[in-house]
Amino acid sequence: MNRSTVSLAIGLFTAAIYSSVLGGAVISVPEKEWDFGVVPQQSTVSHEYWIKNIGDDTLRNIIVKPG
Amino acid sequence: MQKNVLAPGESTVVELIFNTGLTKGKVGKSASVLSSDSAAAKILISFRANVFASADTSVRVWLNPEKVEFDQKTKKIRAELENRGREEITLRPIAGIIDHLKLKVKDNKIASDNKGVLEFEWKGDFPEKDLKKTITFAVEGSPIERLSVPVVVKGTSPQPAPSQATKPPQQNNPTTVKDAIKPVGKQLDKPAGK
Repeated sequence: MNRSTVSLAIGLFTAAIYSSVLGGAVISVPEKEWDFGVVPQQSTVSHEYWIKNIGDDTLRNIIVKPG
Repeated sequence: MQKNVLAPGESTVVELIFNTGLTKGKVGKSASVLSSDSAAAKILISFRANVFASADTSVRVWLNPEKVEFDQKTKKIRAELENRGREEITLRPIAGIIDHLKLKVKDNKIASDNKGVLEFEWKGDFPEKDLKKTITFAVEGSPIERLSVPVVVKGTSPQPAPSQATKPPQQNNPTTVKDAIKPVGKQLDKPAGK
């Protein structure tokens, strides 16, 4: 293994550690489940779920898909 | 346009809407929240409900009327909560507190085979479009544990065309995900927890 390969490996390792320490964007959804309990037929009920970025970088491409 | 970006520390909300239709019994639905967070690129959010028809007397706690609908002529609604069970129950609102809606629970402890009174009053202006929210109560002492009350504040804009209004009730129970990405810092009706 030559010197440049070792340097590259060390560089990649350092970048991985750096990235994991900094964290980037981190999504947090404190409440993922909700129980309405008893609800009447032929009605509409709704519930709001909070989404927070608790990381230190911008959270992008937030999309919500049914199912 | 939907906002799909959050700066560090920012929050937003997603609203799941469930039309019960003619569904009966226990039902669960879910949606996926996708994002650029590679460690949690897909998060599942879900809800469950137990749907009853008003004619079904087997349900132990029932509100009459079962839905609360305000319009220009009806700003106060008195509802009776019937405890058909054998246990005394205690009623406590846990989610869905709405700006401008005053809720008074006159008798939060309701003995077996008795009724409690809930008073709903709309104290705000009427929105342009219908406002639909849900108040969920914890029903302590009862096996049903929870009860949700749909609240509608009728909007001032014209309602859907009659052809839509006369459609038969839906046989399925669609779950729609409404874009509810709202400005950070705005005080919303944050759930008080389970």
